[in-house]
Amino acid sequence: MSERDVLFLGSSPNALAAAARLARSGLRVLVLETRAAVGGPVATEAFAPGFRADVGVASASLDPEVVAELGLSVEVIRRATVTALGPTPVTLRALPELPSAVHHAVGLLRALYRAAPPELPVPTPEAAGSLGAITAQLLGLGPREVHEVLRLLFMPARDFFDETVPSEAVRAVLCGASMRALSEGPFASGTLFGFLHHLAVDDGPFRSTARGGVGALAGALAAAAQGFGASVRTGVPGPIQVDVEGGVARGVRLGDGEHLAARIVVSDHDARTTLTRLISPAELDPETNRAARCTRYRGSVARVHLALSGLPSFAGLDRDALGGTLVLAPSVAALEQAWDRAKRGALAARPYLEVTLPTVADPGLAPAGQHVLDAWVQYVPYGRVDRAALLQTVMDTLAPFAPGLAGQVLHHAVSLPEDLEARFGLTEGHLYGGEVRLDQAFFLRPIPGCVGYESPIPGLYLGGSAAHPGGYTGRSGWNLAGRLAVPRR
Amino acid sequence: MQRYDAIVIGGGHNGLVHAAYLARAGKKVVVLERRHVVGGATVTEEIHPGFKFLTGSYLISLLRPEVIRELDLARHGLEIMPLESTVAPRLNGDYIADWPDHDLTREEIARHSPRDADAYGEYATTMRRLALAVKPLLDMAPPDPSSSAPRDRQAMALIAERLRAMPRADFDLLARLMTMSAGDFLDEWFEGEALKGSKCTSGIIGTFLGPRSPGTGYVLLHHYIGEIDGVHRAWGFARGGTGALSQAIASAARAAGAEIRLEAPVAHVLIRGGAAVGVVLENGDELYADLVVSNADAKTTFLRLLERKELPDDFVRDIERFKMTSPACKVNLALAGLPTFTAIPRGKEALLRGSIEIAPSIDYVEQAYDDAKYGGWSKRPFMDALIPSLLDPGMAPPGKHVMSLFVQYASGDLTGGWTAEKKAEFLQVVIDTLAEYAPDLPGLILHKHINTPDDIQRSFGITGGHIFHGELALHQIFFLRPAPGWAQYRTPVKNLWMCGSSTHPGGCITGAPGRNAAMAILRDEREGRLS
Amino acid sequence: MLNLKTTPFHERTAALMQGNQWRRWAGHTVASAYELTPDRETLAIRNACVLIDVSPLFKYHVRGPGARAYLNRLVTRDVSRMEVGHLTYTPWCNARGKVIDDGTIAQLSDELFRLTAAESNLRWLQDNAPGFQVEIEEVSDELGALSLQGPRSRALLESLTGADLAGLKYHRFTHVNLLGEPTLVSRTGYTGDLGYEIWVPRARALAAWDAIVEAGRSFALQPAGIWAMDVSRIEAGLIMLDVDYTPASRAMAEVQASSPFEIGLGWAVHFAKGNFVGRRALLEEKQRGPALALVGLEIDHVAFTRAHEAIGLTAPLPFIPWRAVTPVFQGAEQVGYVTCATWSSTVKKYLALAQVSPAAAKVGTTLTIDLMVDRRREPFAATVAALPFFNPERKRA
Repeated sequence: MSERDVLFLGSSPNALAAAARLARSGLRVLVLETRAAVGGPVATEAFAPGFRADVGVASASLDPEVVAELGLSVEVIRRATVTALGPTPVTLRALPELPSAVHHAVGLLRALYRAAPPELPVPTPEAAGSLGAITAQLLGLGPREVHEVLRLLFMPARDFFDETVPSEAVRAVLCGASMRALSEGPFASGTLFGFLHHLAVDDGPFRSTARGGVGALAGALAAAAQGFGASVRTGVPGPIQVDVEGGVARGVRLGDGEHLAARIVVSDHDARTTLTRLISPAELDPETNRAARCTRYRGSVARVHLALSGLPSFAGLDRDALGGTLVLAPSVAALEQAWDRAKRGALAARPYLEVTLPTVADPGLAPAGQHVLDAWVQYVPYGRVDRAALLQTVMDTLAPFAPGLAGQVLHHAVSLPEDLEARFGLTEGHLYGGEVRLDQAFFLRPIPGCVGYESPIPGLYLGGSAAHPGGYTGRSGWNLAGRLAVPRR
Repeated sequence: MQRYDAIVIGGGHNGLVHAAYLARAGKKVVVLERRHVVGGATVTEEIHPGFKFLTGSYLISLLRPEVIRELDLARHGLEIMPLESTVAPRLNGDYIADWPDHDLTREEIARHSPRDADAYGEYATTMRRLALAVKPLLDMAPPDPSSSAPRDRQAMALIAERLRAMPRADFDLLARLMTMSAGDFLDEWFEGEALKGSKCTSGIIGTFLGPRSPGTGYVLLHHYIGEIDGVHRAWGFARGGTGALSQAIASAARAAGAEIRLEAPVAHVLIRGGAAVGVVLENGDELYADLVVSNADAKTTFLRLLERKELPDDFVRDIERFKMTSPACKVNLALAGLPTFTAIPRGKEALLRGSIEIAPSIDYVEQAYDDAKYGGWSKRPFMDALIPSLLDPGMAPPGKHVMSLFVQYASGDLTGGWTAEKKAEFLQVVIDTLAEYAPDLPGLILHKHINTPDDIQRSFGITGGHIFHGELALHQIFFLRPAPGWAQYRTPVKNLWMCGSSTHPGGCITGAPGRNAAMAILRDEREGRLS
Repeated sequence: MLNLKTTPFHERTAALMQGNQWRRWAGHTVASAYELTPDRETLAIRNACVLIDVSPLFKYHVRGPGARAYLNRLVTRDVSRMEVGHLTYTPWCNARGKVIDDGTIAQLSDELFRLTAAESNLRWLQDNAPGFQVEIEEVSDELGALSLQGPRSRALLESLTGADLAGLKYHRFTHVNLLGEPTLVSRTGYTGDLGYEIWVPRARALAAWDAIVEAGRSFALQPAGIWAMDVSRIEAGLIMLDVDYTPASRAMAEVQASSPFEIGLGWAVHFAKGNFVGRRALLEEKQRGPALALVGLEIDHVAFTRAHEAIGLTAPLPFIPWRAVTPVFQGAEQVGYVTCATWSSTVKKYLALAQVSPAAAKVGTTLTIDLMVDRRREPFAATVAALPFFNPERKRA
């Protein structure tokens, strides 16, 4: 069996972007996916006969450099409005005016995301160079701006939006976007970072998808990778294990016993899955095992999909608003209260919801005239909530704003965090392979001691959303591929 | 005309430290204190005849050894008695304690969880190591990262050097500890609920955050710096209560030549030609000085003692947004006798001589926070209790006792405000909670007293009643404290400086703001930067 | 009252204590010496036999089909070929190659091993378990341990139990009949002499002690404390945790910690066996060359004595070992440090254990150490000697 240069376990946009870049440079690349389709949690699938929806993440946006470099052609659908549902709905078409420091901070993050994280506290000369350039850029903003930018990184979302946004409804929308996929409330320090991060990966309050659903992004990347000569195999028998011999990764073993050899194996899965299931923990020293166990996953997002007989009518909202994102967050305190419940293992009566009707912009996702409602439900504790109760809570939460909704439901699908875990192999159902938070970001991501996408096992790399910077823009894969100094055949 | 080299507004402990250092450097200094007694919130007050109450701070844990040594405080009457133990009683009749002795503490922890006993040794060593790495930051004026001035560059380089010298694992751990919650951090080390409950409290004292809030890990680390300096006997109870510390510093300041005026409230700072030239007292008296240094909190200083027009708009906005909502109350009880804690067994009464914590688990403390954070108070508060009369019989008449209770959480922004009814109601909540652990306590109460955030504001003149003169939140510490660009004890007003806990390194009776500010002034003078 | 723990034999040892010379060991109260001076206890180790309470050792059972593989990954020494009845002494390290502890592993059955250690290791053992089919159980408090050491120890034990111990080789164990119960006896010890360790469940501890002491009347058995044991272990060149090295878990800074190479345990590092914790770091260190080596030093006691006599004093040769990190020099340069030293009646020398740079570690090299002569500090020669200082045939015979 001829040896590959690089094997990818998993096929999220990060793995696919990396595969494409490496294949483009002449390496023999194979992507192995146990599911029937590529994409990992960036997946659009039928949840009911004739109805398709994004069954993992609710939005995705590819990094512009990746798109340009690979010559990808995807039709992006931007959700151009965000509406806060309430007694008086408030529709945003753009971010409210925010201090310039926000935009500078986002720029700073984007710059940091463009490369592998440095090894700290003593960076390599190369990393020191690019850090120095970024620092110089920051300092060039002038003292006041420098301070403001640094202050933003550590602030509670609640405090910042209190200072800068007059409307409580808008504050709640922005806090909600900050807290997305985070198991924290907006009162806590460091939560504004979530907002900055989401803006930096272009997944802020204004979300994006593609025609055909987010899965189409993965499809396009896979096609590009294959175009450059990479092989992509789906439906591969699992569970897949990494072959480690003499402390070095040598390839993988598929579920049916087949061995595939490779010089490099890249795991697209999160660190805990990789280091406790894809390899035996016996291969790792105890401190690494502890670190892998300590990384916080705490998936607290559930997905609810409804197949509707027609377009629901939301009081006071036009079609324009219905084509955007509808947010249910009555106040910043309500978000904090929802987290208060979740951290004790209970579901709030009114969890945080982001609802879209993807069929408004993309009718092909459902039969003619019929619609899909996609709900991102946050603060759903892992393993503690019952599917029926969650569905009822979501329906009860939406009912006041769309009274006829219940009558339009033809089918429904509820995915709790544990369902997401089972479906996509995500530890504790965390859609992004681990919370993106200050103590798990940058050089601390995915786990301390594993910088630059390396794992403790030579030959095994940690890519994916679990790695820096987090998210499915393809950035982590692209950075990883740039790092891999693999001798060409 | 009363002319001085420096006027210090406020005789809190930092103001006294500051005056002492300036006086030692030969300056003619006067401290103007509003109250009839110095100390600010570091006082001992005989609220009920015969009983000495600790109406503000109650323990000394982070007082800089340099301050103790350089001001020779021992000679001026400071006597610190180390605390023998900490005990956290539990409603199930058990408790968890720790002592300075490693073996005893190990056994105690092992009693609850053998695995935690192993982890504890490593935890303590690791925390000390991290605290040692950041300790120098306490005693320096924070460098301004945006500045290219040599002084700032030098300090940044020093900090970078220290960080570079850290083993990578420590560096990573420090970065995580600074940004994560105390609760999550403790979860990584320990499994036992009781141990974690007891340990998490030092992550939230004086902070309006719960142990599960990111940002409390840093406060936990801050506390460990006191553990290191404990070796210099800087940790414990001062004989006579914390007021004795203020008296000792005042004595040192006077011995160095500083003047201290009591009942001399300042109405505002006198500005001429954009510079501070002195102060006006409430009685109309004017005093003049080359420098005016405020020990008052940032909001008092800039929003009350100055007029807006004297300050840049940006700066005023920064001070207005400086978080100062207090989470804490202070309760004192005069007791007819020693209470019996159900969970503390016969033969272990010595535990009452140490700290007594009502913090049975992280969840308990987190719930206490959740109850209060929307403008309320904890239905079952967290308490850090002390019976000072057991250590210092002079604190109460013979056979009787005082009990000092630091209580969280009770919001300074209480919905409806701190009316007399609310005050009484919360005081009862505190007593009722404590009575769950010591049922005979209510029957022993001769007198009870509470300082709510409102009371602390009124008595000690601290805006919002925040004992640290502002939250030690990540976005307002170090070079951001109390305002971006103004973290080196100077203010936008020429010749007006700050030396109180609103500046780095914040609260906790460190004496560091006072000392650091004095060092900054003297350094400026040496370098010809003072006009 | 807050008290330290006591061993299962405390009732007996307390009754013997004449000089109030207790000490702590792992949170327990144990005797430094029973008699007013430790001399007879020390001499008895080499002349007759002694009984030492070593119960504060930590003991763990490692059980399961993966136990052997687990232990082989945990420790630096190759234990893959151990058999039931064997004991192996080995250090174990963290991932940076620094020693956490050292102890013995006994294979009790196919899937059951007993590990002893100087410090508590429960968390470390548990955290090494993921990926192995193994369970860790702490049995420290359940087992008392007695060390019966000295030239007459075998005879005593045979007389007491009726067992024939001539065939029990060094670092092997067997079960003997003690008061009608099978009791594990291992041919191990910390004295570098003929000796055995007896492992007794707590419930039978006092009865076992009484039986041994009773039988000991005919063999001049001397209960001995830690001071006596310390002398003999230094004579045997055996290192002690916290004296000769700081365990990695307690090292404030990494400079305080030690690798096995630096404390004379390089022989117990078997790279060829495959992956074990610390392997990579230790390999790198080996290639770099370790910074220190463990050596024995013979301090010039003649000069020391003369220096005292010159001012009318007798030399205070230490009959109780001192444990203070003391620099040793080669010329003007400090090349290392002594960690403990003692007068040895056995070899009639002033012995020390030290860690020095490898260049100064050759046997016969003369180094200098400063010692106090009354109130003055003076340099004395300390010559590198081979370890162990004392290694009688009977230890292994």
